Amino acid sequence: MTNYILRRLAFSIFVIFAAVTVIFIVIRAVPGNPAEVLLGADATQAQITALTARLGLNQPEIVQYGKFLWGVVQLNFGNSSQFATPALPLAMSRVGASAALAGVSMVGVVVVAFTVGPLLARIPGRRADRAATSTLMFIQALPPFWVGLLLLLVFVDHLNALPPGGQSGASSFILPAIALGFPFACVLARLVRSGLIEVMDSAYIQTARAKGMSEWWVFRKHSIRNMLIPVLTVGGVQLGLLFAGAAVIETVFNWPGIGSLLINAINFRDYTVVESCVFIFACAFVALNFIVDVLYAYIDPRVRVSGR
Amino acid sequence: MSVQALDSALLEERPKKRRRVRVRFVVASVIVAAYVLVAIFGPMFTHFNSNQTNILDRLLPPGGHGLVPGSHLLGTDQLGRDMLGELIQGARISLVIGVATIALSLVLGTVIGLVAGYLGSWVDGVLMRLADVQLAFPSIILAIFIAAALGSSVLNVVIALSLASWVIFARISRAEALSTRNRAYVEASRLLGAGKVRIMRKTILPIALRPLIIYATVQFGFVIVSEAALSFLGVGVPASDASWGTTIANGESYLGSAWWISTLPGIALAVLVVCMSIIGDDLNERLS
Repeated sequence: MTNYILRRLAFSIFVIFAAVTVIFIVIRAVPGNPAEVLLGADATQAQITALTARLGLNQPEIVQYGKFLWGVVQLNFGNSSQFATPALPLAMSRVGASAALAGVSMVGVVVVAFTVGPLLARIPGRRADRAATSTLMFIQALPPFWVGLLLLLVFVDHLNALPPGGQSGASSFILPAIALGFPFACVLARLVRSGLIEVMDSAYIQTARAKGMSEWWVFRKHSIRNMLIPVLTVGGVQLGLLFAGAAVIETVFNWPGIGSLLINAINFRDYTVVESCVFIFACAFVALNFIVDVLYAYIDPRVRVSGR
Repeated sequence: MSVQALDSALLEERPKKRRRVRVRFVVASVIVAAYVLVAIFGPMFTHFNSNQTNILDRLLPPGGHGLVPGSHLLGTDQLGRDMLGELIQGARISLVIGVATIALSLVLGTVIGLVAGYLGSWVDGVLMRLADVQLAFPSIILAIFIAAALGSSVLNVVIALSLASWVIFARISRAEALSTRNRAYVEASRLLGAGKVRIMRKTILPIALRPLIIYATVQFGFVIVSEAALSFLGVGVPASDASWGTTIANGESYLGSAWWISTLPGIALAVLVVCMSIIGDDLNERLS
């Protein structure tokens, strides 16, 4: 197990390194001199030359890359051009709101999926099951940011029941959490359903029942654990997407998280903040994947030896 | 990146009922075909230019008559542009970006996957680590980042979304290459002196094509939703091109007073995505 964890950890660090490299390359691919972009349209040639030298943009690429990497190791991305404060701490200060939203959304998703999934698994193939499964597939395909706008239209503009956006108390979580989590809830409910149906048919469940185990114990000891394997595999990917999807949903609901900061920074060409946000997203995504991998190995011992 | 992974996991769960499946499939195909026709020929039949603003006719509800003769069937937006014209323009953008992105990522992914799977050894190791890294990075964030850095244009959106979606095609074609490369007929082709490229193209690619097409269909929906999201955020296609995402963003400030601006393009997008996912789903069920 330790060996497995160490291997996954090494891979995670490699991914973050790769992500940082991608950030470096993409930022350099921006048309025009970053110094010109930073200074704006009415900068003099002397100012541009000075800033180019100060940012080290006249040095060879490999030196710039080395310096950039060193900066990342020190968690220093430079100052935000918009707010004139260090960019990474600025981005970090917005993580809390995003994490709170993703967390609330996640709890809702799990509750919905583990209520609807088992219900449908009890009546596989019946009309109600087919209708519900199709509906879930349909809802899952809806564009989340548009659903967010519809929720605003109905619950804020027409019913006036909920706050219009921003973070203000518990009720402000409801709409963004729904908009963020609904595709995930549909996917997870379908997975729980199919997982349970498959598991309940298997021989070891028959055996457990034949032993005289109660339905609840069969569920707790045998079905849940086996059903969780596919749920976790896909769930892990989805959890990361939930976090990433926040970039769009936070903009819709004016949520003071890191996603809306990223979009704002892009609009103001505040590249150090953009880099910091993408870096944080990458780290969060990698960390989530790592946790899921470890959980996966914990639930399914076969994973530990086969490796990847 | 997500959707296909799911659909393979969900493959077994669908209730099997042949007739139902076919009706759904036909209905969805007809709707998608209608979108394609409207995107190609639509502009010929609407006398409103999607870029033509008319401040006197702004914010007309669907069915409303403006001062300019002719009815605005689906109303107008905040600048008096005809909504129907904008929706048709949006369909063109969505379909063009969807097809171009799928084509680019399909070719890129398939080539990488076949090479990795057939050659094996260190080539496979390097290419698949690359794919793993790509998978371990949220694709929408990557697309936002790339599109923002490159600037807004249709081509840049295609590049950004292709970079975010080639991995699934690489994975599929690699898996197919791995499972076929030692089959007797591939061996025979090799013994007859066929080169590596020829073997990959003539014996392995045809086998891989079927799952590739299924996932291309599934991925299509993901691509056009991503395009709309990018344009909604202002990092997608230029504002002058009236993508559905742009129109949805334009209507955001008028939600309370003019619901149709944001709602209609969303419906157009949602219907197309749902139909594509039904088609992908049925193909999956039928072909695999």
